[in-house]
Amino acid sequence: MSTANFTNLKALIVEDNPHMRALLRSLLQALGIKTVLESCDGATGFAEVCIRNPDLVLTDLSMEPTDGIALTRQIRQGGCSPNPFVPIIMVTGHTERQRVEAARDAGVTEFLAKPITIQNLTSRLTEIVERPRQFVKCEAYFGPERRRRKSESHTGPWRRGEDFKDDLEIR
Amino acid sequence: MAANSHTGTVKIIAPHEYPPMITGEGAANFLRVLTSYETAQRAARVIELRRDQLCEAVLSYIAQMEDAASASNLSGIFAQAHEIRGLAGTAGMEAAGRIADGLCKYLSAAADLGSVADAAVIALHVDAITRASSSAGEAGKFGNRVAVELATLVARKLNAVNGLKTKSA
Repeated sequence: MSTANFTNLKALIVEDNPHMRALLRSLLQALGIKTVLESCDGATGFAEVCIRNPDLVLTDLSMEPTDGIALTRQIRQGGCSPNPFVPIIMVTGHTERQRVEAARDAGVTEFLAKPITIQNLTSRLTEIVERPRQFVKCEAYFGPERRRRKSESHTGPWRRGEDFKDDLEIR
Repeated sequence: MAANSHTGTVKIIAPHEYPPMITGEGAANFLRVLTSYETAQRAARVIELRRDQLCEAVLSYIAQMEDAASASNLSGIFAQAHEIRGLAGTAGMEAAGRIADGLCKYLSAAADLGSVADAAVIALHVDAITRASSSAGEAGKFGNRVAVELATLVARKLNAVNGLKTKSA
Protein backbone atom coordinates (compact mmCIF):
# COMPACT_ATOMS: atom_id res chain seq x y z
CA MET A 1 0.00 0.00 0.00
CA SER A 2 1.38 3.36 -0.99
CA THR A 3 1.54 5.91 1.81
CA ALA A 4 2.06 9.62 1.41
CA ASN A 5 2.86 10.36 5.05
CA PHE A 6 5.53 8.19 6.62
CA THR A 7 3.99 8.35 10.10
CA ASN A 8 1.05 6.40 8.62
CA LEU A 9 3.33 3.52 7.65
CA LYS A 10 2.40 0.17 9.16
CA ALA A 11 5.29 -2.10 10.07
CA LEU A 12 4.98 -5.73 11.13
CA ILE A 13 7.61 -7.36 13.34
CA VAL A 14 7.71 -11.16 13.29
CA GLU A 15 10.11 -12.32 15.99
CA ASP A 16 9.88 -15.03 18.64
CA ASN A 17 12.13 -13.36 21.19
CA PRO A 18 10.02 -10.90 23.22
CA HIS A 19 13.04 -8.71 24.11
CA MET A 20 14.12 -8.37 20.49
CA ARG A 21 10.52 -7.69 19.48
CA ALA A 22 10.20 -4.92 22.05
CA LEU A 23 13.53 -3.42 21.00
CA LEU A 24 12.59 -3.38 17.32
CA ARG A 25 9.19 -1.87 18.11
CA SER A 26 10.77 0.94 20.14
CA LEU A 27 13.35 1.60 17.42
CA LEU A 28 10.71 1.80 14.67
CA GLN A 29 8.63 4.13 16.83
CA ALA A 30 11.73 6.26 17.44
CA LEU A 31 11.98 6.56 13.64
CA GLY A 32 8.42 7.94 13.55
CA ILE A 33 6.51 4.80 12.49
CA LYS A 34 3.47 4.91 14.75
CA THR A 35 1.73 1.65 13.84
CA VAL A 36 3.90 -1.33 14.71
CA LEU A 37 2.23 -4.73 14.63
CA GLU A 38 3.77 -7.82 16.21
CA SER A 39 3.72 -11.58 15.73
CA CYS A 40 5.80 -14.30 17.31
CA ASP A 41 6.16 -16.74 14.39
CA GLY A 42 5.77 -17.02 10.65
CA ALA A 43 2.27 -18.53 10.64
CA THR A 44 0.67 -15.85 12.82
CA GLY A 45 2.81 -13.30 10.99
CA PHE A 46 1.32 -14.28 7.65
CA ALA A 47 -2.19 -14.13 9.11
CA GLU A 48 -1.40 -10.59 10.28
CA VAL A 49 -0.06 -9.72 6.80
CA CYS A 50 -3.34 -10.89 5.24
CA ILE A 51 -5.51 -8.96 7.70
CA ARG A 52 -3.54 -5.73 8.17
CA ASN A 53 -1.54 -5.48 4.92
CA PRO A 54 1.58 -3.84 6.41
CA ASP A 55 3.86 -1.52 4.38
CA LEU A 56 7.01 -3.14 5.77
CA VAL A 57 7.83 -6.52 7.35
CA LEU A 58 10.75 -7.21 9.66
CA THR A 59 11.14 -10.90 10.35
CA ASP A 60 13.48 -13.13 12.28
CA LEU A 61 14.93 -16.13 10.45
CA SER A 62 14.72 -18.94 13.01
CA MET A 63 11.27 -19.37 14.54
CA GLU A 64 9.06 -22.32 15.43
CA PRO A 65 6.89 -23.70 13.94
CA THR A 66 7.09 -21.46 10.83
CA ASP A 67 10.37 -19.66 10.16
CA GLY A 68 11.13 -16.41 8.37
CA ILE A 69 12.01 -18.14 5.10
CA ALA A 70 8.61 -19.85 4.90
CA LEU A 71 6.91 -16.56 5.82
CA THR A 72 8.78 -14.77 3.03
CA ARG A 73 7.71 -17.44 0.52
CA GLN A 74 4.09 -17.11 1.64
CA ILE A 75 4.16 -13.33 1.30
CA ARG A 76 5.79 -13.45 -2.14
CA GLN A 77 3.94 -16.41 -3.60
CA GLY A 78 0.92 -17.14 -1.39
CA GLY A 79 -2.38 -16.90 -3.21
CA CYS A 80 -4.00 -14.72 -0.54
CA SER A 81 -0.98 -12.46 -0.01
CA PRO A 82 -2.31 -8.88 -0.21
CA ASN A 83 0.98 -7.37 -1.43
CA PRO A 84 3.69 -9.71 -2.76
CA PHE A 85 5.96 -6.68 -3.32
CA VAL A 86 6.06 -5.57 0.31
CA PRO A 87 9.64 -4.91 1.51
CA ILE A 88 10.86 -7.69 3.81
CA ILE A 89 13.84 -7.14 6.09
CA MET A 90 15.25 -10.33 7.54
CA VAL A 91 16.72 -9.77 10.99
CA THR A 92 19.18 -12.52 11.70
CA GLY A 93 22.16 -13.53 13.74
CA HIS A 94 22.81 -16.33 11.28
CA THR A 95 25.95 -15.79 9.36
CA GLU A 96 25.90 -19.25 7.79
CA ARG A 97 26.03 -18.70 4.05
CA GLN A 98 23.48 -21.44 3.25
CA ARG A 99 20.79 -19.94 5.48
CA VAL A 100 21.34 -16.45 4.13
CA GLU A 101 21.20 -17.74 0.55
CA ALA A 102 17.97 -19.64 1.28
CA ALA A 103 16.42 -16.44 2.67
CA ARG A 104 17.59 -14.45 -0.34
CA ASP A 105 16.15 -17.09 -2.68
CA ALA A 106 12.82 -16.90 -0.85
CA GLY A 107 12.61 -13.21 -1.80
CA VAL A 108 13.97 -11.19 1.13
CA THR A 109 14.56 -7.52 0.28
CA GLU A 110 17.26 -6.66 2.86
CA PHE A 111 19.18 -8.34 5.66
CA LEU A 112 19.71 -6.78 9.07
CA ALA A 113 22.39 -8.54 11.08
CA LYS A 114 22.20 -8.90 14.84
CA PRO A 115 23.35 -7.24 17.00
CA ILE A 116 20.93 -4.55 15.89
CA THR A 117 22.34 -1.07 15.55
CA ILE A 118 20.40 2.04 14.62
CA GLN A 119 22.87 2.73 11.80
CA ASN A 120 22.17 -0.66 10.23
CA LEU A 121 18.41 -0.35 10.60
CA THR A 122 18.25 3.16 9.12
CA SER A 123 20.58 2.22 6.26
CA ARG A 124 18.34 -0.72 5.29
CA LEU A 125 15.23 1.47 5.41
CA THR A 126 16.98 4.20 3.42
CA GLU A 127 17.96 1.65 0.78
CA ILE A 128 14.34 0.47 0.50
CA VAL A 129 12.93 3.99 0.14
CA GLU A 130 15.70 5.50 -1.98
CA ARG A 131 16.48 2.60 -4.28
CA PRO A 132 13.48 0.27 -4.60
CA ARG A 133 14.54 -2.88 -6.45
CA GLN A 134 13.00 -4.26 -9.57
CA PHE A 135 11.26 -7.59 -9.13
CA VAL A 136 11.99 -10.73 -11.09
CA LYS A 137 9.34 -13.30 -11.87
CA CYS A 138 10.30 -16.60 -13.43
CA GLU A 139 9.50 -20.24 -12.96
CA ALA A 140 11.94 -20.70 -10.09
CA TYR A 141 11.83 -17.33 -8.37
CA PHE A 142 9.69 -14.35 -7.51
CA GLY A 143 11.20 -11.51 -5.54
CA PRO A 144 13.55 -8.54 -5.66
CA GLU A 145 16.38 -8.80 -8.13
CA ARG A 146 19.15 -10.66 -6.34
CA ARG A 147 22.19 -9.41 -8.22
CA ARG A 148 22.78 -5.84 -7.10
CA ARG A 149 25.99 -5.06 -8.94
CA LYS A 150 27.31 -5.87 -12.36
CA SER A 151 30.21 -8.24 -12.00
CA GLU A 152 32.73 -8.65 -14.80
CA SER A 153 33.51 -12.15 -13.56
CA HIS A 154 29.87 -13.31 -13.67
CA THR A 155 29.50 -15.94 -16.38
CA GLY A 156 25.84 -16.79 -15.86
CA PRO A 157 23.18 -17.88 -15.34
CA TRP A 158 21.67 -14.89 -17.20
CA ARG A 159 18.27 -13.87 -15.91
CA ARG A 160 18.19 -10.06 -15.85
CA GLY A 161 16.16 -8.13 -18.39
CA GLU A 162 19.32 -6.41 -19.56
CA ASP A 163 20.90 -9.82 -20.15
CA PHE A 164 18.42 -10.35 -22.96
CA LYS A 165 18.77 -7.02 -24.73
CA ASP A 166 18.74 -8.68 -28.13
CA ASP A 167 15.60 -10.78 -27.71
CA LEU A 168 13.79 -8.50 -25.29
CA GLU A 169 10.10 -8.07 -25.72
CA ILE A 170 8.71 -4.89 -24.18
CA ARG A 171 5.11 -5.12 -23.00
CA MET B 1 8.91 -6.27 -19.58
CA ALA B 2 9.57 -9.93 -20.39
CA ALA B 3 12.52 -11.84 -21.77
CA ASN B 4 12.82 -15.35 -23.06
CA SER B 5 15.84 -17.21 -21.79
CA HIS B 6 16.81 -20.84 -22.03
CA THR B 7 15.17 -21.38 -18.63
CA GLY B 8 11.76 -20.01 -19.63
CA THR B 9 9.99 -16.67 -19.46
CA VAL B 10 11.43 -14.06 -17.16
CA LYS B 11 9.32 -11.06 -16.26
CA ILE B 12 11.00 -7.97 -14.89
CA ILE B 13 8.78 -5.68 -12.85
CA ALA B 14 10.20 -2.18 -12.48
CA PRO B 15 9.67 -0.25 -9.21
CA HIS B 16 7.15 2.09 -10.88
CA GLU B 17 5.05 -0.94 -11.86
CA TYR B 18 4.28 -2.06 -8.31
CA PRO B 19 2.90 -0.18 -5.27
CA PRO B 20 5.74 1.57 -3.44
CA MET B 21 6.09 1.51 0.33
CA ILE B 22 5.98 5.29 0.42
CA THR B 23 5.89 8.02 -2.21
CA GLY B 24 6.71 11.66 -2.95
CA GLU B 25 6.90 14.06 -0.07
CA GLY B 26 6.29 11.30 2.46
CA ALA B 27 9.36 9.43 1.19
CA ALA B 28 11.47 12.60 1.26
CA ASN B 29 10.37 13.37 4.82
CA PHE B 30 11.05 9.80 5.91
CA LEU B 31 14.56 9.91 4.43
CA ARG B 32 15.21 13.20 6.22
CA VAL B 33 14.15 11.63 9.53
CA LEU B 34 16.17 8.46 8.91
CA THR B 35 19.37 10.41 8.36
CA SER B 36 18.89 13.10 11.01
CA TYR B 37 21.11 13.48 14.07
CA GLU B 38 18.03 13.80 16.32
CA THR B 39 16.73 10.42 15.16
CA ALA B 40 20.09 8.79 15.82
CA GLN B 41 20.13 10.30 19.31
CA ARG B 42 16.54 9.24 20.02
CA ALA B 43 17.21 5.68 18.85
CA ALA B 44 20.44 5.49 20.84
CA ARG B 45 18.43 6.47 23.94
CA VAL B 46 15.95 3.67 23.18
CA ILE B 47 18.76 1.12 23.18
CA GLU B 48 20.33 2.66 26.29
CA LEU B 49 17.01 2.54 28.17
CA ARG B 50 16.56 -1.11 27.28
CA ARG B 51 20.14 -2.16 28.00
CA ASP B 52 19.58 -3.28 31.63
CA GLN B 53 16.57 -5.32 30.62
CA LEU B 54 18.51 -6.91 27.74
CA CYS B 55 21.44 -7.71 30.06
CA GLU B 56 19.07 -9.37 32.50
CA ALA B 57 17.57 -11.42 29.67
CA VAL B 58 21.01 -12.50 28.42
CA LEU B 59 22.09 -13.51 31.93
CA SER B 60 18.94 -15.58 32.29
CA TYR B 61 19.64 -17.31 28.95
CA ILE B 62 23.19 -18.02 30.13
CA ALA B 63 21.88 -19.60 33.35
CA GLN B 64 19.52 -21.77 31.29
CA MET B 65 22.34 -22.71 28.94
CA GLU B 66 24.50 -23.77 31.90
CA ASP B 67 21.61 -25.93 33.16
CA ALA B 68 21.25 -27.49 29.72
CA ALA B 69 25.01 -28.12 29.60
CA SER B 70 24.90 -29.82 33.01
CA ALA B 71 22.16 -32.09 31.68
CA SER B 72 24.07 -32.68 28.39
CA ASN B 73 20.98 -31.34 26.63
CA LEU B 74 22.37 -30.34 23.22
CA SER B 75 19.18 -28.84 21.81
CA GLY B 76 18.75 -26.83 25.01
CA ILE B 77 22.33 -25.54 24.75
CA PHE B 78 21.78 -24.56 21.12
CA ALA B 79 18.45 -22.84 21.84
CA GLN B 80 19.91 -20.68 24.62
CA ALA B 81 23.14 -19.93 22.73
CA HIS B 82 20.98 -18.82 19.80
CA GLU B 83 19.09 -16.35 22.03
CA ILE B 84 22.39 -15.11 23.48
CA ARG B 85 23.98 -14.48 20.09
CA GLY B 86 20.92 -12.47 19.05
CA LEU B 87 20.72 -10.21 22.09
CA ALA B 88 24.16 -10.04 23.72
CA GLY B 89 25.69 -7.58 21.26
CA THR B 90 22.87 -5.06 21.69
CA ALA B 91 23.10 -5.56 25.47
CA GLY B 92 26.76 -4.50 25.34
CA MET B 93 28.15 -8.03 25.75
CA GLU B 94 29.74 -8.32 22.31
CA ALA B 95 32.26 -11.01 23.26
CA ALA B 96 29.60 -13.24 24.81
CA GLY B 97 27.54 -12.84 21.61
CA ARG B 98 30.47 -13.77 19.38
CA ILE B 99 31.33 -16.85 21.44
CA ALA B 100 27.65 -17.92 21.48
CA ASP B 101 27.58 -17.49 17.70
CA GLY B 102 30.67 -19.71 17.45
CA LEU B 103 29.01 -22.35 19.64
CA CYS B 104 25.86 -22.34 17.49
CA LYS B 105 27.95 -22.70 14.33
CA TYR B 106 29.92 -25.57 15.86
CA LEU B 107 26.77 -27.44 16.96
CA SER B 108 25.11 -26.92 13.56
CA ALA B 109 28.21 -28.00 11.64
CA ALA B 110 28.72 -31.08 13.83
CA ALA B 111 25.08 -32.07 13.28
CA ASP B 112 25.37 -31.47 9.51
CA LEU B 113 28.47 -33.70 9.41
CA GLY B 114 26.67 -36.39 11.39
CA SER B 115 29.29 -36.13 14.10
CA VAL B 116 28.81 -36.05 17.89
CA ALA B 117 29.70 -32.61 19.26
CA ASP B 118 32.74 -32.70 21.51
CA ALA B 119 31.68 -32.14 25.14
CA ALA B 120 34.98 -30.39 25.94
CA VAL B 121 34.50 -27.89 23.11
CA ILE B 122 30.97 -27.16 24.34
CA ALA B 123 32.15 -26.76 27.94
CA LEU B 124 34.89 -24.34 26.85
CA HIS B 125 32.35 -22.20 25.00
CA VAL B 126 29.79 -22.23 27.84
CA ASP B 127 32.49 -21.24 30.33
CA ALA B 128 33.82 -18.51 28.04
CA ILE B 129 30.32 -17.07 27.48
CA THR B 130 29.74 -16.93 31.23
CA ARG B 131 33.07 -15.20 31.82
CA ALA B 132 32.68 -12.78 28.91
CA SER B 133 29.20 -11.75 30.12
CA SER B 134 30.69 -10.51 33.38
CA SER B 135 33.53 -8.66 31.68
CA ALA B 136 33.74 -5.15 30.29
CA GLY B 137 36.48 -2.84 28.99
CA GLU B 138 39.87 -4.56 28.87
CA ALA B 139 38.35 -7.82 30.06
CA GLY B 140 35.83 -7.54 27.21
CA LYS B 141 38.70 -7.26 24.73
CA PHE B 142 40.12 -10.42 26.30
CA GLY B 143 36.74 -12.05 25.67
CA ASN B 144 37.01 -11.15 21.99
CA ARG B 145 40.45 -12.78 21.81
CA VAL B 146 38.97 -15.90 23.43
CA ALA B 147 36.22 -15.86 20.79
CA VAL B 148 38.85 -15.87 18.02
CA GLU B 149 40.80 -18.71 19.64
CA LEU B 150 37.67 -20.79 20.16
CA ALA B 151 36.76 -20.25 16.50
CA THR B 152 40.19 -21.62 15.55
CA LEU B 153 39.65 -24.64 17.81
CA VAL B 154 36.23 -25.27 16.24
CA ALA B 155 37.65 -25.01 12.72
CA ARG B 156 40.38 -27.52 13.64
CA LYS B 157 37.83 -29.92 15.16
CA LEU B 158 35.54 -29.72 12.13
CA ASN B 159 38.48 -30.20 9.75
CA ALA B 160 39.46 -33.30 11.67
CA VAL B 161 35.91 -34.69 11.42
CA ASN B 162 35.87 -33.88 7.70
CA GLY B 163 39.25 -35.55 7.24
CA LEU B 164 38.04 -38.73 8.97
CA LYS B 165 34.92 -38.78 6.78
CA THR B 166 36.98 -38.35 3.60
CA LYS B 167 39.35 -41.18 4.63
CA SER B 168 36.54 -43.59 5.46
CA ALA B 169 34.78 -42.74 2.16
